[in-house]
Amino acid sequence: MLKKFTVFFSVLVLSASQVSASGFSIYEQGAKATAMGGAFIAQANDVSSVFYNPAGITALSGLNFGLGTTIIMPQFAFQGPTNIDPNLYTRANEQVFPPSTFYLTYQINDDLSLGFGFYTMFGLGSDWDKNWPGRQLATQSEVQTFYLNPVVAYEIMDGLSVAAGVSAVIGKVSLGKSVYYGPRNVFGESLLEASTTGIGFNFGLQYKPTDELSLGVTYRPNTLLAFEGGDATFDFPVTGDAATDAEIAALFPNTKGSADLTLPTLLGVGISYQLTKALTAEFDWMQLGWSSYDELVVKFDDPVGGKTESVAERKYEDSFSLRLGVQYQMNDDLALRLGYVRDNKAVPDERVEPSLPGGNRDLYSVGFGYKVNKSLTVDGFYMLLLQEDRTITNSVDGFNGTYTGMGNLFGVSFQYGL
Amino acid sequence: MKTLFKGLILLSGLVFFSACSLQDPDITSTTLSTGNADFSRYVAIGNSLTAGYQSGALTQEHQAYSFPKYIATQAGVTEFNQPLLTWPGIGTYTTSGAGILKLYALDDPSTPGGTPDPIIAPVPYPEGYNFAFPYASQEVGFLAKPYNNLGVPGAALVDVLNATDAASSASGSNSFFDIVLRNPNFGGTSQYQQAKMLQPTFMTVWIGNNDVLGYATSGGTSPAAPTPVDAFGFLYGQMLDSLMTTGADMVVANIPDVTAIPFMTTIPYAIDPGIGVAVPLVIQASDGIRQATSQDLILLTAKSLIGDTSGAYGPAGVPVGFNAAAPLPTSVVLDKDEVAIASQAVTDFNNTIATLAAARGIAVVDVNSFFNDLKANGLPIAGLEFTADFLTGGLFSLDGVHPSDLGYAIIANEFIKTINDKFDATIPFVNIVAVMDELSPTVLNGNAKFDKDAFNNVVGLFSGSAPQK
Repeated sequence: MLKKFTVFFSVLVLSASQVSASGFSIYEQGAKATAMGGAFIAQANDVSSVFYNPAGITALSGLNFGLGTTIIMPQFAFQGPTNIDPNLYTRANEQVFPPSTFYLTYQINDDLSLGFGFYTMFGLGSDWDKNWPGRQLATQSEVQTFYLNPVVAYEIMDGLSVAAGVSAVIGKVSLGKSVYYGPRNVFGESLLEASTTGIGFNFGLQYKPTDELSLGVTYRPNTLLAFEGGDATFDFPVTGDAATDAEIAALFPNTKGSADLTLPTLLGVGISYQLTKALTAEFDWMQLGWSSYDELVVKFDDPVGGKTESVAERKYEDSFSLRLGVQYQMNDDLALRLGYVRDNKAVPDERVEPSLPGGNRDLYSVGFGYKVNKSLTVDGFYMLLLQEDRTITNSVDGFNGTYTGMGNLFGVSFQYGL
Repeated sequence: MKTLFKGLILLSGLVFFSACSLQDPDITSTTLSTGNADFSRYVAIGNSLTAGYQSGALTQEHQAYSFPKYIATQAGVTEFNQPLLTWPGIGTYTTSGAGILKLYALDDPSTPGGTPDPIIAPVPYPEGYNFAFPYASQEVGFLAKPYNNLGVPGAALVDVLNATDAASSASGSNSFFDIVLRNPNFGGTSQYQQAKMLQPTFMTVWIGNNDVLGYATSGGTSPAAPTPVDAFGFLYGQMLDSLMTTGADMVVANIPDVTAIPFMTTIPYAIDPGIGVAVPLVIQASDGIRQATSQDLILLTAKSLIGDTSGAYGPAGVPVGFNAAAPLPTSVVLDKDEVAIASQAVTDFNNTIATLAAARGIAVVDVNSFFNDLKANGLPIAGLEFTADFLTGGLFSLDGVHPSDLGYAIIANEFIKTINDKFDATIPFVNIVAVMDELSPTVLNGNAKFDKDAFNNVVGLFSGSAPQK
């Protein structure tokens, strides 16, 4: 009738790693735009406009194809944590991400154009050694979102175009980290893998009041990615102690998990001005609405650590970036470009995790456009990403220390017009 | 063609830029410097907490994780001898034929569902266990000099200067003094005198816990009161002055709140007797038999008594703790008045320690504040949250009083912090995650392939057989 001994049992929580943030967003979707720091919402005058501002495609005549790729090579490191060794320095393993793009535009008549874009708007990841001090926070994290994005653009009147598009968004996440079963002192590895499809929308507006001046607005409402039936797998050592092995098997079953992730609203406005016949400058302001990302709830079909739901607070902030780009047209065939971006962090200090070692960033870009012949244009860029060193002193995870990071980005795009 | 040439120049520029890379810092891990402290001969003085006692016993498997051992390792001490004892060790259950506590099951499989009901019991001694010589080896037992770790489980403050064997200890029968001090072979010397024999250059001193802990863990019965604060102050000052004659540098640690340990906080004051509603337990309090309130603490030792109908603790057939005829005995309850007495003693002792240490320029490791903060807010370390909870909190061992291997590592780091501050040293912290990894069995490819040593250790820890190296 009476249990001899009842113990309050605090359930082992499997806190899910954060799966995204502004550092995972990729805005490098065309070599021409990126060479100008991505300040392209107002100009929007090549096939990558499908991404940056689809209203711009009304100015592209005939049928155009675009193929491009960006090589992103980030480097991250962490020094700490202070409660283990304030000086301990760990570099994340270097990874190469090649988000690629395919664009198509077709002008049906003077007013109406159709377009299609394939690109990876949120991606990237991080890879830390399996035995590094932060292993319970992140080892291998990867997020990918592929967009299949048809758009329609309409020129309402001379100089004023609007556009709307819809995207099928294919999302994939893979999050790995260590889990410690404290009562028996056993380290295991956990892996969450899930994929899903969501629907997103994008809208654009471009207005050219004079020949020199262009204004642009681009807007993407948030996109829900409902991950369902993802695989949560646990790999624990076989200890040889029957009771321990049975407990681990019961507490950490391989099961299915689901989580809703909302990709943030994006709002960007830009203004470009042709200063001289050869020189054009653009300034963009862009915001990613992460503030709606308060918590991440992962639900498990079978209880993990005694719980079917894991709630991780996030408390992100909206992040915005300022983008400045200039283009100098050397001659009919060659254009040189420069850009600068100031990108502000979305993750507050106390929530920064090594799965996404984000921070305030300055990005510098340089590039060129070369018209090979009447039909073919090639654009290239190099971008240097410098992240401010970020010292955390109030980590909710007991992981204070200093994050450092930088990145090299290269890209090339080809555009072929018929 | 000319423009293409320019493009190529630009491209080579890009290649140049690709050399941009993250700069590594000059220092990539803390290098040991003991600063103004001299760790050439380190001696630790104290009680069970210094000895590395956990889960109700002292055994070499866990003495390897005593906090002084951690400090010695981190400070680069080459020789640090401990009175290592053979599995399953000597402790609370030795007189009943068993050693260290083992977690046989997190939840009793015979009572599935509901609140987990762990099975914790001591490991019986194997046949032939040599109680007269429980040391891990001849080398350990016959070491020709005193141990560097002079922590004696059960030692009270007065014992540091006075106790030389079981008979002369405060309790009159604490045989750990015989095991650690090995008199008469060492001339009838005390902890203090044996420390002095080692000509220490550095000492850690963590003593006084038992001057209130025994009162609390016995429900205010044995002894019937904590050491009076005046006596505590006199003895503590005398001890510090004596230890200072060794010429060694030292740090002392104060006393954590004895009413906040899992031994006191795990069992709720109200329990469901099988009717679907939790009802307050009936207790023998110092103000009479009454129902418990949230201010009374039910001790872990009440576990086997609650609901017992054998007649051993009251009339046969009456479940203990639910009827005025069979209250929970006073020895397994720290009622609210006794809680107040224990808490006051801790406060008084700590004020005394702070004053006496400050007057002598000795730094105090504020374990009390550290533990209170951990109790209130938890302690996240690299993603794992340590709490003061029993079994799942990570800090305490199975006896609910003494720290675990990881708990001692965390305490060692508190000592190291104070030592670094006081002596301008940079002794690296114990890497808690590395210890977690060390404690965990190593398996490759998810199955089958074992790290043999780790495997044997784990089998040893959980099956009760001695690990084979």
